[in-house]
Amino acid sequence: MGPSGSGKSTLLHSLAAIIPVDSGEILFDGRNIGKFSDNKRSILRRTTFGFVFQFSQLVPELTVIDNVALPLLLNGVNRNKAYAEAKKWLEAVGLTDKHENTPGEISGGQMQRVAIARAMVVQPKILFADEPTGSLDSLNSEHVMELFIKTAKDNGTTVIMVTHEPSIAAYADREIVVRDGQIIGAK
Amino acid sequence: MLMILVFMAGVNALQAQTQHASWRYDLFTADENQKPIDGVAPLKAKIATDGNFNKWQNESITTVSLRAGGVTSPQLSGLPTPKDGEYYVSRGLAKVMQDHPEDNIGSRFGSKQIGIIPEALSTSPDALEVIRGMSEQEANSGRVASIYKFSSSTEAVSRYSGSVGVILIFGASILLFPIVMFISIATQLGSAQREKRYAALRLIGATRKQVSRIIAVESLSAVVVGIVVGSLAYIAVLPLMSQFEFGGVRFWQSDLTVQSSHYVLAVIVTLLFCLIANWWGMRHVQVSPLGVARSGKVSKRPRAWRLILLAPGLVTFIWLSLPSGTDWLRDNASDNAAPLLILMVGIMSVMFGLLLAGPWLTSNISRLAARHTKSAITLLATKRIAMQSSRIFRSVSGVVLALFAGSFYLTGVSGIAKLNTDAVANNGYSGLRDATAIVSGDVLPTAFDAKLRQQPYISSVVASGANDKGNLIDCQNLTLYTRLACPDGSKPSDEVLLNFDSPTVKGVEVLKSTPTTTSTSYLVKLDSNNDLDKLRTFVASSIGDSTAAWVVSGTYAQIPIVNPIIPELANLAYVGMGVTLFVAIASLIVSTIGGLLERRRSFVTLRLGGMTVGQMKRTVMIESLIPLVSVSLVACGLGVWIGWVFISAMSDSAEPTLTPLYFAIVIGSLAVAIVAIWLVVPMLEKITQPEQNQTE
Repeated sequence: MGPSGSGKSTLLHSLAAIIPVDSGEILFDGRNIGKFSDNKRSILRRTTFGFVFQFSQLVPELTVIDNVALPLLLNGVNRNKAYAEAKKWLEAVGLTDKHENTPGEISGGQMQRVAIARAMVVQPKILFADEPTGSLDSLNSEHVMELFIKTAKDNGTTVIMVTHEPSIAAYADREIVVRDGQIIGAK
Repeated sequence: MLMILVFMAGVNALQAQTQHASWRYDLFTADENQKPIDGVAPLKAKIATDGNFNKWQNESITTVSLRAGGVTSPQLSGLPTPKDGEYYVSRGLAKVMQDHPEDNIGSRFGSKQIGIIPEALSTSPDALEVIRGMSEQEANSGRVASIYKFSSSTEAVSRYSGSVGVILIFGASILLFPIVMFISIATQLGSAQREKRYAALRLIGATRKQVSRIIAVESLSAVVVGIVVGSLAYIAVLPLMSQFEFGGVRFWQSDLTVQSSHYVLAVIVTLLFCLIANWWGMRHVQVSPLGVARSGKVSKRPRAWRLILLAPGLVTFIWLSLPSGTDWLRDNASDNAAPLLILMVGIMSVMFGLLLAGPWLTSNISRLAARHTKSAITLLATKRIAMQSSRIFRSVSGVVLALFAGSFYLTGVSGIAKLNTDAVANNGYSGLRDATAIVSGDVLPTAFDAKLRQQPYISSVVASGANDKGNLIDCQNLTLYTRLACPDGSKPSDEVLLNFDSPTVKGVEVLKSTPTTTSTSYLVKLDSNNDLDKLRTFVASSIGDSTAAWVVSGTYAQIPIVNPIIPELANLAYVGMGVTLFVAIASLIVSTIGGLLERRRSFVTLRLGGMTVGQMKRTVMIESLIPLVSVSLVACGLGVWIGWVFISAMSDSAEPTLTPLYFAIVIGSLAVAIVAIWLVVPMLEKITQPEQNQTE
């Protein structure tokens, strides 16, 4: 948690192997992922991590189910299996009737639920979320967070989430406060 | 601007070429159009058609013979009517006469050259033309027109505009179409780069109207620069254009110069094209103080009604490919206009049907591929193609027109070339050896062979008795003058009868008895084929006023008689295909770059989610190239097929074949497109750098 410009997103991006680190180490399963090559980081992200951002950033040309199945297809999973998994996760987030819709045809809250399904479909060990409810109203934020936490708990996935909203931070088991690039507290 | 000016210059030059020759139109139509006028003595006129003295080497010399009936006879503008023995020559013929004085060509037309035919009456600087004065005896014999008044050139020009003009305008539209598309796509990309500035202007208080005005002024400035550059480029290419040949001859440079009124029209057309293309590109863009938004609505899925034009055309050609259709076509081709009409309507239906049906075909083929693919990359690419089918097809639609029209024409022409080769093979004169000639005609002096033998450039002559069945030649001379031979065992004095006016005799038969002959022809062996025109001139001078004698060259009989416009249009088809493909590739590059910038966020997400840069590159390659490659193959395939049906309908012996140049242009252009996109896609790596997109 922290105010804008405090460095919380940079920290999350470093932890998620999105950007390389200038100094220090990021250890995951005993390996320093901060020094991985770009290709190796890409493969790590798509096989082991999941992501949910403020704006769901779905691929507009693909249908909802295509978007969810995409990470599995990128991993070389068989098409039928990938779509069966995607279907399962769309059911889990309550979007059974939206499979064939495109992102432009569903609401912001529904898009975030699709993003959660897409993040979870690879059964990530860690799910990184950057202001996942930043673009939603409070009612939708609450629904999305409940789904988010329940899904992660049910699947044993660790969630690392960035927010500046205390009400959203309250869903977490552990809270780290960042300011001006420094960790200034934890609870 | 350059394209429009070049096009206008071309049309201008073609019209002017017709206009220069329009006075000859009065000679052909004198019987219907020329009525006696009181107080006007007719001008007697004819265009030579008999004999072949109106030839130099293998080119025709347009020879007009005139005789004024009196002082009141009409005159050609700026050219006093030549008297008997006098003649004018065109600039092209004057050059030939200067370069080949040994041929003494002028003496075929008279004894005194009195000037050069002015530009206004001559079709080209290369045209071989003569206007000569004829004797009273000649003016009163044969088919001679009486001219009382030369009409204006309007009628001839309008006749011309009605046929070739339509073809040219049609061809130019095919070339301009992809260019307009290119401008539209380039405008979109240009505006994408300027959008942040427009948004900043809105933020500091500029109204929507003011921003629109700034956009218009910026576009206008670019167009003005384009007009200036295009005009200068036109001036630079003018000397090159004056070397361009159409129908085997060049245009007068003055005819290629665009008139001021046409120049103004070109400027207006360019401005309109650019402004419309600009408006088209920007019509979905909303500039607000917070940024620029495109109404990114996914284009509507194209419906099957788009096949309404293509389907009847395809059905027509499928039927014409079947034996029943082909038979009907051949049975009716010579009797009525219906077969040609059906073919033309069918071709138009397929060509424009392809344009209309393109988005539907693109959408459905890509949807089908997306439904069955196992690859994430293909899924992403084909889904994008399916969703944006109208837009994607628009960027390659110019290629459809050019490749279809080009493939159709070149296939058809290749069939005609085969027919021409067959015609040579079936021409009896092509059996003559190189540097030989046959001199024939009822008006030849008696014992003409002796006079021929005296000519220093003639190595041998043999007189050959002839009747309506052919020429009588003994076996000894047969091998000397022709590439034929008597059967084994025949004696040198044995005789054969050969009809040069009919297809080549496959088997030579020795005659058992000598038939009666009614005239004499002369087989002549020249030192070189370059001496042919000396022979023509000698024969012409030996028969007085008459033109009823023929000198047929064995060398030229082996060359197909092809209207030079056919291979020149084929060259234009190659150029058209090359230019259109070049523009299409440029459009493809611009639209690919535009698409990458537009979808940067989407790509960033994919990269954050673990998609490698290599996978993204492959996606972009597939989605950019598949429409171009598939559309090109479909257009080429349909063009070749319809060209084949067309030419097969005309003749059962035609065998359409495509040249290596055709394949080189199509395959080479597609290879260039692949390389071009391959060079563009590395920008994906840069624009999706996670470090540079943390704020997204």
